[in-house]
Amino acid sequence: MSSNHGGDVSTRFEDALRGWGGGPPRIDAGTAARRVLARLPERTRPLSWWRMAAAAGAVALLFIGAWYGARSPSPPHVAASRLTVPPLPDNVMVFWLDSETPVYFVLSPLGSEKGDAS
Amino acid sequence: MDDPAVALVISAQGGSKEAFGTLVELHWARLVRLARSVVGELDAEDVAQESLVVAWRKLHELNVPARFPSWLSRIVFRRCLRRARQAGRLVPLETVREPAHDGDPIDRLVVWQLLGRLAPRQRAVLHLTVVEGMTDGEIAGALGITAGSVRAHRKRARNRIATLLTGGAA
Repeated sequence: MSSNHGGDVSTRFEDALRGWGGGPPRIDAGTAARRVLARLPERTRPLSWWRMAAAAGAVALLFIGAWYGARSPSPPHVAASRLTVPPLPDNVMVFWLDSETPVYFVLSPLGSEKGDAS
Repeated sequence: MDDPAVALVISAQGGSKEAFGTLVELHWARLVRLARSVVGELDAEDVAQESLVVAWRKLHELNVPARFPSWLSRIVFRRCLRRARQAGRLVPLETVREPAHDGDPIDRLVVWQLLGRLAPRQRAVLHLTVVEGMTDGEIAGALGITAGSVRAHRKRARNRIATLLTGGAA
Protein backbone atom coordinates (compact mmCIF):
# COMPACT_ATOMS: atom_id res chain seq x y z
CA MET A 1 0.00 0.00 0.00
CA SER A 2 1.39 3.38 -0.91
CA SER A 3 1.45 6.12 1.63
CA ASN A 4 -0.59 8.22 -0.77
CA HIS A 5 -3.39 5.71 -0.63
CA GLY A 6 -3.20 5.74 3.15
CA GLY A 7 -3.19 9.53 3.05
CA ASP A 8 -6.21 9.63 0.75
CA VAL A 9 -8.32 7.33 2.88
CA SER A 10 -7.26 9.19 6.04
CA THR A 11 -8.29 12.47 4.46
CA ARG A 12 -11.58 10.94 3.40
CA PHE A 13 -12.07 9.58 6.88
CA GLU A 14 -11.45 12.99 8.47
CA ASP A 15 -13.86 14.60 6.01
CA ALA A 16 -16.46 12.02 7.01
CA LEU A 17 -15.62 12.57 10.69
CA ARG A 18 -16.13 16.29 10.25
CA GLY A 19 -19.55 15.65 8.76
CA TRP A 20 -20.62 13.06 11.33
CA GLY A 21 -18.96 14.61 14.37
CA GLY A 22 -20.14 18.10 13.54
CA GLY A 23 -23.81 17.20 13.37
CA PRO A 24 -26.33 18.80 15.76
CA PRO A 25 -27.57 17.08 18.92
CA ARG A 26 -30.90 15.30 18.82
CA ILE A 27 -32.15 17.35 21.77
CA ASP A 28 -32.18 21.11 21.18
CA ALA A 29 -30.37 23.42 23.57
CA GLY A 30 -33.49 24.88 25.18
CA THR A 31 -34.92 21.47 26.00
CA ALA A 32 -31.55 20.31 27.29
CA ALA A 33 -31.30 23.36 29.56
CA ARG A 34 -34.77 22.69 31.02
CA ARG A 35 -33.90 19.05 31.68
CA VAL A 36 -30.61 19.92 33.30
CA LEU A 37 -32.17 22.63 35.48
CA ALA A 38 -34.84 20.18 36.64
CA ARG A 39 -32.07 17.94 37.94
CA LEU A 40 -30.09 20.58 39.77
CA PRO A 41 -29.98 20.45 43.56
CA GLU A 42 -30.07 23.68 45.52
CA ARG A 43 -26.40 24.54 45.66
CA THR A 44 -25.10 25.75 49.00
CA ARG A 45 -21.90 27.65 48.77
CA PRO A 46 -19.31 25.94 50.94
CA LEU A 47 -17.82 28.11 53.64
CA SER A 48 -14.36 29.38 52.86
CA TRP A 49 -11.64 28.47 55.28
CA TRP A 50 -11.17 31.99 56.58
CA ARG A 51 -14.87 32.34 57.37
CA MET A 52 -14.74 29.09 59.33
CA ALA A 53 -11.61 30.23 61.15
CA ALA A 54 -13.23 33.56 62.07
CA ALA A 55 -16.36 31.80 63.33
CA ALA A 56 -14.29 29.35 65.39
CA GLY A 57 -12.32 32.25 66.87
CA ALA A 58 -15.47 34.13 67.82
CA VAL A 59 -16.92 31.04 69.52
CA ALA A 60 -13.64 30.49 71.37
CA LEU A 61 -13.66 34.09 72.60
CA LEU A 62 -17.21 33.72 73.84
CA PHE A 63 -16.32 30.59 75.79
CA ILE A 64 -13.21 32.19 77.25
CA GLY A 65 -15.17 35.28 78.27
CA ALA A 66 -17.90 33.21 79.88
CA TRP A 67 -15.38 31.00 81.69
CA TYR A 68 -13.38 33.97 82.90
CA GLY A 69 -16.50 35.73 84.04
CA ALA A 70 -17.61 32.66 85.97
CA ARG A 71 -14.21 32.41 87.66
CA SER A 72 -13.95 36.09 88.69
CA PRO A 73 -14.46 36.60 92.46
CA SER A 74 -17.81 38.17 92.99
CA PRO A 75 -18.35 40.29 96.03
CA PRO A 76 -21.68 38.83 97.12
CA HIS A 77 -21.10 40.18 100.59
CA VAL A 78 -20.66 43.66 99.19
CA ALA A 79 -23.91 43.43 97.32
CA ALA A 80 -25.56 41.78 100.29
CA SER A 81 -24.12 44.40 102.65
CA ARG A 82 -25.28 47.24 100.52
CA LEU A 83 -28.63 45.63 100.10
CA THR A 84 -29.00 45.05 103.84
CA VAL A 85 -28.37 48.70 104.75
CA PRO A 86 -31.73 49.92 105.92
CA PRO A 87 -33.14 53.14 104.68
CA LEU A 88 -31.30 55.90 106.48
CA PRO A 89 -32.73 58.97 108.09
CA ASP A 90 -32.00 62.24 106.46
CA ASN A 91 -29.30 63.17 108.98
CA VAL A 92 -27.38 59.93 108.61
CA MET A 93 -24.76 59.40 105.96
CA VAL A 94 -22.83 56.20 105.30
CA PHE A 95 -19.36 55.92 103.85
CA TRP A 96 -17.81 52.62 102.86
CA LEU A 97 -14.21 52.30 103.95
CA ASP A 98 -13.97 49.06 102.01
CA SER A 99 -16.35 46.46 100.65
CA GLU A 100 -17.28 45.33 104.16
CA THR A 101 -16.90 48.34 106.42
CA PRO A 102 -19.56 51.04 106.46
CA VAL A 103 -19.06 54.14 108.58
CA TYR A 104 -22.10 56.02 109.56
CA PHE A 105 -22.06 59.73 110.20
CA VAL A 106 -24.90 61.29 112.09
CA LEU A 107 -25.32 64.93 111.45
CA SER A 108 -26.54 66.71 114.52
CA PRO A 109 -27.94 70.15 114.46
CA LEU A 110 -25.90 72.81 116.14
CA GLY A 111 -26.29 72.81 119.91
CA SER A 112 -26.64 69.07 120.43
CA GLU A 113 -24.42 67.39 122.98
CA LYS A 114 -21.17 65.76 121.97
CA GLY A 115 -20.97 62.08 122.43
CA ASP A 116 -24.48 61.26 121.37
CA ALA A 117 -24.79 57.78 120.10
CA SER A 118 -24.38 57.48 116.40
CA MET B 1 -14.45 34.07 26.88
CA ASP B 2 -16.22 37.39 26.47
CA ASP B 3 -17.42 39.54 29.35
CA PRO B 4 -21.16 38.74 29.16
CA ALA B 5 -20.34 35.03 29.26
CA VAL B 6 -17.99 35.55 32.20
CA ALA B 7 -20.74 37.50 33.95
CA LEU B 8 -23.06 34.54 33.42
CA VAL B 9 -20.55 32.20 35.04
CA ILE B 10 -20.11 34.50 38.02
CA SER B 11 -23.86 34.77 38.38
CA ALA B 12 -24.24 31.01 38.23
CA GLN B 13 -21.52 30.66 40.86
CA GLY B 14 -23.64 32.93 43.01
CA GLY B 15 -26.49 30.43 42.72
CA SER B 16 -28.44 31.70 39.72
CA LYS B 17 -30.01 28.75 37.96
CA GLU B 18 -31.26 31.06 35.25
CA ALA B 19 -27.69 32.05 34.42
CA PHE B 20 -26.63 28.42 34.46
CA GLY B 21 -29.48 27.53 32.13
CA THR B 22 -28.21 30.10 29.66
CA LEU B 23 -24.73 28.61 29.91
CA VAL B 24 -26.17 25.17 29.21
CA GLU B 25 -27.79 26.48 26.03
CA LEU B 26 -24.59 28.17 24.92
CA HIS B 27 -22.38 25.09 25.35
CA TRP B 28 -24.81 22.22 24.76
CA ALA B 29 -24.07 21.48 21.11
CA ARG B 30 -20.27 21.39 21.40
CA LEU B 31 -20.42 19.24 24.56
CA VAL B 32 -22.66 16.73 22.81
CA ARG B 33 -20.35 16.68 19.78
CA LEU B 34 -17.37 15.91 22.02
CA ALA B 35 -19.24 13.23 23.95
CA ARG B 36 -20.51 11.69 20.69
CA SER B 37 -16.98 11.16 19.42
CA VAL B 38 -15.89 9.47 22.63
CA VAL B 39 -18.92 7.40 23.75
CA GLY B 40 -21.06 7.30 20.61
CA GLU B 41 -24.36 8.77 19.57
CA LEU B 42 -26.55 6.75 21.93
CA ASP B 43 -24.91 7.90 25.15
CA ALA B 44 -23.65 11.35 24.16
CA GLU B 45 -26.58 13.42 25.37
CA ASP B 46 -26.98 11.49 28.63
CA VAL B 47 -23.30 12.02 29.41
CA ALA B 48 -23.53 15.71 28.49
CA GLN B 49 -26.51 16.22 30.83
CA GLU B 50 -24.86 14.34 33.70
CA SER B 51 -21.74 16.42 33.21
CA LEU B 52 -23.69 19.66 33.41
CA VAL B 53 -25.27 18.60 36.71
CA VAL B 54 -21.80 17.80 38.05
CA ALA B 55 -20.56 21.17 36.80
CA TRP B 56 -23.32 22.94 38.74
CA ARG B 57 -22.27 21.20 41.95
CA LYS B 58 -18.61 22.02 41.40
CA LEU B 59 -18.94 25.58 40.13
CA HIS B 60 -17.37 26.94 43.31
CA GLU B 61 -14.13 25.11 42.37
CA LEU B 62 -13.72 27.22 39.23
CA ASN B 63 -11.37 30.01 40.26
CA VAL B 64 -11.14 31.70 36.86
CA PRO B 65 -14.62 32.15 35.35
CA ALA B 66 -13.13 32.90 31.92
CA ARG B 67 -11.89 29.30 31.79
CA PHE B 68 -15.40 27.90 32.09
CA PRO B 69 -15.52 26.39 28.56
CA SER B 70 -12.34 24.32 28.92
CA TRP B 71 -13.22 23.44 32.51
CA LEU B 72 -16.60 22.19 31.34
CA SER B 73 -14.99 20.19 28.53
CA ARG B 74 -12.74 18.46 31.06
CA ILE B 75 -15.75 17.43 33.13
CA VAL B 76 -17.50 16.05 30.05
CA PHE B 77 -14.38 14.20 28.96
CA ARG B 78 -13.90 12.60 32.40
CA ARG B 79 -17.56 11.48 32.43
CA CYS B 80 -17.04 10.05 28.95
CA LEU B 81 -14.01 8.09 30.18
CA ARG B 82 -16.05 6.75 33.07
CA ARG B 83 -18.91 5.75 30.77
CA ALA B 84 -16.52 4.13 28.31
CA ARG B 85 -14.88 2.14 31.13
CA GLN B 86 -18.24 1.01 32.49
CA ALA B 87 -19.48 -0.04 29.09
CA GLY B 88 -16.22 -1.77 28.19
CA ARG B 89 -17.14 -0.82 24.71
CA LEU B 90 -14.91 -1.81 21.84
CA VAL B 91 -16.22 -2.50 18.40
CA PRO B 92 -15.09 -5.99 17.36
CA LEU B 93 -12.70 -5.82 14.43
CA GLU B 94 -14.84 -8.10 12.28
CA THR B 95 -17.70 -5.60 12.25
CA VAL B 96 -15.56 -2.93 10.61
CA ARG B 97 -16.76 -2.90 7.05
CA GLU B 98 -14.52 -2.34 4.11
CA PRO B 99 -15.04 1.12 2.69
CA ALA B 100 -16.65 1.13 -0.73
CA HIS B 101 -14.11 0.99 -3.51
CA ASP B 102 -16.13 3.03 -5.93
CA GLY B 103 -15.23 6.32 -4.30
CA ASP B 104 -18.34 6.60 -2.12
CA PRO B 105 -17.76 8.59 1.08
CA ILE B 106 -17.11 6.68 4.25
CA ASP B 107 -20.50 6.36 5.89
CA ARG B 108 -21.47 7.25 9.40
CA LEU B 109 -21.39 3.71 10.69
CA VAL B 110 -17.83 3.23 9.51
CA VAL B 111 -16.79 6.53 11.11
CA TRP B 112 -18.05 5.40 14.51
CA GLN B 113 -16.72 1.89 14.10
CA LEU B 114 -13.29 3.24 13.24
CA LEU B 115 -13.37 5.69 16.14
CA GLY B 116 -14.34 2.79 18.35
CA ARG B 117 -11.00 1.18 17.57
CA LEU B 118 -9.18 4.11 19.12
CA ALA B 119 -8.54 4.79 22.79
CA PRO B 120 -10.98 7.36 24.24
CA ARG B 121 -8.29 9.99 24.55
CA GLN B 122 -7.31 9.51 20.91
CA ARG B 123 -10.95 9.87 19.86
CA ALA B 124 -11.27 13.10 21.82
CA VAL B 125 -8.06 14.56 20.39
CA LEU B 126 -9.03 13.65 16.84
CA HIS B 127 -12.49 15.12 17.31
CA LEU B 128 -11.23 18.40 18.76
CA THR B 129 -8.62 18.67 16.00
CA VAL B 130 -10.73 17.72 13.01
CA VAL B 131 -14.27 18.73 13.97
CA GLU B 132 -13.73 21.67 16.30
CA GLY B 133 -10.51 22.95 14.69
CA MET B 134 -8.86 23.63 18.03
CA THR B 135 -5.16 24.28 18.53
CA ASP B 136 -2.96 21.90 20.50
CA GLY B 137 -2.96 24.29 23.45
CA GLU B 138 -6.74 24.57 23.45
CA ILE B 139 -7.12 20.79 23.21
CA ALA B 140 -4.65 20.35 26.07
CA GLY B 141 -6.73 22.67 28.23
CA ALA B 142 -9.97 21.00 27.27
CA LEU B 143 -8.74 17.51 28.13
CA GLY B 144 -6.37 18.30 30.98
CA ILE B 145 -3.27 16.95 29.22
CA THR B 146 -0.11 18.50 27.84
CA ALA B 147 0.28 19.79 24.29
CA GLY B 148 2.91 17.12 23.70
CA SER B 149 0.42 14.43 24.68
CA VAL B 150 -2.09 15.95 22.27
CA ARG B 151 0.34 15.60 19.38
CA ALA B 152 1.25 12.05 20.39
CA HIS B 153 -2.39 10.95 20.66
CA ARG B 154 -3.26 12.55 17.34
CA LYS B 155 -0.38 10.87 15.53
CA ARG B 156 -1.27 7.46 16.98
CA ALA B 157 -4.93 7.96 16.12
CA ARG B 158 -4.20 8.87 12.51
CA ASN B 159 -1.75 5.98 12.11
CA ARG B 160 -4.28 3.52 13.45
CA ILE B 161 -7.10 4.81 11.27
CA ALA B 162 -4.86 4.61 8.22
CA THR B 163 -3.85 1.07 9.13
CA LEU B 164 -7.46 -0.03 9.56
CA LEU B 165 -8.59 1.59 6.33
CA THR B 166 -5.79 0.20 4.25
CA GLY B 167 -6.26 -3.30 5.61
CA GLY B 168 -3.06 -3.37 7.63
CA ALA B 169 -2.64 -5.28 10.88
CA ALA B 170 -4.97 -4.15 13.70
